[in-house]
Amino acid sequence: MRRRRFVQVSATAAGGLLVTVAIPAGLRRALAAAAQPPAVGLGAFIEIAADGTVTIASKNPEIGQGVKTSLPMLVAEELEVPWQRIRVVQAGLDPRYGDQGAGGSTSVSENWNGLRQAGAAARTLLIAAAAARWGVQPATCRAESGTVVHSATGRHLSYGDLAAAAARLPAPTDVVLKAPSDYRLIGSRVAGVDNGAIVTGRATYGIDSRVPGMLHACVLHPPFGHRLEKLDRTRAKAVAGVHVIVEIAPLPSPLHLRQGVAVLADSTWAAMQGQRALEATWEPTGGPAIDSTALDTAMLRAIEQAGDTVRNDGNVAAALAAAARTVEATYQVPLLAHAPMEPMNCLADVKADRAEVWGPMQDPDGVRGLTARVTGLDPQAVTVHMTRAGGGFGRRLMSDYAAEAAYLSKAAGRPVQVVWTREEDFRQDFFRPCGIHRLRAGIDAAGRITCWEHRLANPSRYAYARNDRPPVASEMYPDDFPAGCLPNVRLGYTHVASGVPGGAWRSTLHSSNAFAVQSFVDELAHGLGRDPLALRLELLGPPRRLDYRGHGGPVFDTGRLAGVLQLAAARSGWGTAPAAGRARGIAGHFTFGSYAAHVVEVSRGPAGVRVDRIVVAIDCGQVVNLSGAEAQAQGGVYDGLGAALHGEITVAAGRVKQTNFDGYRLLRMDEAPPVEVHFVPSSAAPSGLGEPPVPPVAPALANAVFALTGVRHRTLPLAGRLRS
Amino acid sequence: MPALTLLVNGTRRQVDLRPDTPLLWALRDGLGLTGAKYGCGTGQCGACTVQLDGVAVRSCTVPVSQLGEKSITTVEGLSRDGSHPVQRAWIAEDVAQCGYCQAGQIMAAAALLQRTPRPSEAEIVAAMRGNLCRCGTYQRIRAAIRRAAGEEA
Repeated sequence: MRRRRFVQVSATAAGGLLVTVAIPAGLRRALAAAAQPPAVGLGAFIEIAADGTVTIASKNPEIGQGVKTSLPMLVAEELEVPWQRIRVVQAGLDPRYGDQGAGGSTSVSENWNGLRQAGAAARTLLIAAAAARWGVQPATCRAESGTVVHSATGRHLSYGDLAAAAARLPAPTDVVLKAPSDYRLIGSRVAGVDNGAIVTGRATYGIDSRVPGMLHACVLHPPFGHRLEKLDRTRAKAVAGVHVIVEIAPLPSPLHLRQGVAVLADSTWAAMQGQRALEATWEPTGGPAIDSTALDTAMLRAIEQAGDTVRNDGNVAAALAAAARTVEATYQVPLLAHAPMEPMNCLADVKADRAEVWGPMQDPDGVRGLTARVTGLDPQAVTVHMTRAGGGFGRRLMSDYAAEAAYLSKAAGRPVQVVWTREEDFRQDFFRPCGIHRLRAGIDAAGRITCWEHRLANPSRYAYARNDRPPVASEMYPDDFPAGCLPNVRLGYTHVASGVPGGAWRSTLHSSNAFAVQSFVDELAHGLGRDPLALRLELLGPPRRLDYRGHGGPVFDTGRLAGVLQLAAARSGWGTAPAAGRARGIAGHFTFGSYAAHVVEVSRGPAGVRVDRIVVAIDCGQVVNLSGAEAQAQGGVYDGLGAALHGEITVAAGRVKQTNFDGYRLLRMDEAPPVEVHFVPSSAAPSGLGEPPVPPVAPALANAVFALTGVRHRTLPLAGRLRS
Repeated sequence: MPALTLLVNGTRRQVDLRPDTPLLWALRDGLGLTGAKYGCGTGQCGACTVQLDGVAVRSCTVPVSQLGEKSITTVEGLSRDGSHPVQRAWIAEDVAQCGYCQAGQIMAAAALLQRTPRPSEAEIVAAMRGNLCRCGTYQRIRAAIRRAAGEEA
């Protein structure tokens, strides 16, 4: 494999070699336009010191998805350095690294080529330096285990000996990437690079960040649709350790900075006690009441409408009219909270001419932009440090909590760390939108499905970002299965204004849409007396590549979805009788470029239906870190299972009713069944893995429950419905 | 405020704090021991788990005034160098994803194995169900506890 690539090379002060891939033109222009580039700790992906130490920078934030291990593996593979000799450091925000977000399950797929090329470029230079020293052709030398070897004579030189000379050579314009059959590291099991720090408590998360002179802040926010009417600070100011109380004026968009009252103190506990002692009264801002019950009513009304056309193939109305019979079902999903274990927090140190920020984040560039906005500083004067994050799940794609830290540091003239209480973390989330789905299919006299209509009514997260102003982007995805697999398909979407903040929750609205689609396919199969797997395979048809607009596109390969369904079926014993008292359900879905199918096995326990086992098949192209990939699959399945069983946020009069883990239940160990993960062997370029395991869980569970009990559950969450 | 003396990881440490301050914040803000994490503040998630005289407790709900002479062990003091069998097992099984809850998980598991060196599956679940992991590492936590139990035998 040969790829042309522009690579920049420079020597470090210590005589090392720095290699970085080319900067996109837009960023290069932005950087050139800036009078003062930001201070950077490490200027590139690779540093080879004269003593042979190899340091690799990980460019994207580590939020539990494992990129601090898997991204450097891509570099190390091509560099031919044993993993044990590599030190990984977290990069700060720096335009030289290109996009540094963590969202859309794209970190590995988007860096797959660039990071391997960075490693290969460094290897090429090191080989060239050795060849020059020996007076031989580079082609007669090879890189091996941190050394360059002259194949004919066995002479060898270590990378440390070669780094200084390599750094003086012109950058290669052409690098050769390794063939997959030569991978030593990619596809193997590599333990997380921070494991040692994590198990000894030394890993630094956002909430662990400390700088001299910092104050701790805790913020109280108004309910949705409310603003501050009156504030009595007396009791809060009397709390020992409280320094000052600051009212936060919101930015126009609630995505950026919400109104709040902050208590700044000399410890987190004092700040929290001060926040609890605030006596604030809130007044409605005027819109309609923000309330889950009212929202349910509005969605039920809206689902009766055909909705905006998202896709329209053939003629569904005519096909329905001509059908021998029609099947219809309505599904409902609730609001979900992100609830990462590390609540929202950020530390900011705003000075007159610059600012520095430390925190857990998924959108460091957004953090920089908002910090600049609330401080009035130039974005180039803002330094952003991404700490390890105690989970993200999409919540930290919003940077409102970081904007608060900057706002408060500027107001106080000192470094300020904002830490939200768990209660505020729930109250001020951007929730996975709730929704009602109605599906209808027509079946001809021969028992064939001839048409498919899918309506969704929900409060679009895109609409929330625009204060419900049209046009509203749909949260239906026009090319999702079975679009392209049936002649008559109509998707109709109706936005329902709600005032409830919406956001991206692990797998976005695929978690909702796949529940409806994959449950309905199951209903059709049982209604037709067909095997649920066989009907899915028949609908998918022969393997072919369909156009797919949106995340994970541009191609949806029906054969790869059929492949994971068949793999999960084979490994779970689908088609054979389950153990007495057990039943199975299956579901599969395509998201973020990857294909996932699960078989869930359930039985009746003393307290109701129990999940005994989940068999998972995933095709995400080339697996980079097998251990990390399995962890993502297991975790994604547990995330989907916890949400399917328990996840539900409700809002009354603008107030979130579930504000801690008693009201909003997460999956606990006693509910976590064995999860068996099988990856489809593949040398295709890697695709997403953080999110794809989530969507098939809820429908596979509901389908298994139907197989066990004969009861079809169409409303999530399920736990209360499964108790005996 | 009167200074309180706490026995933390084998060392007597003085902290100047209000007596109602939970142990969690005394450790984190008073003593710079940030291994124990804030997750819920109400004893429901276990991220703040430390040991008091070898028993796993939720440090976010224990006021420092109630500690007296009790010996406090945090994840930083579980071993000098990360060599406790539970810590080694956590690395061997590559348990952590985000890792935020893992200090609490490790302290709960170490207390379990101290009390019950060869726990049954039911005993593992009973001891660990109070510790939430939002990333879903439960399967590897179970495997790591079984591994550590085998090592200690």
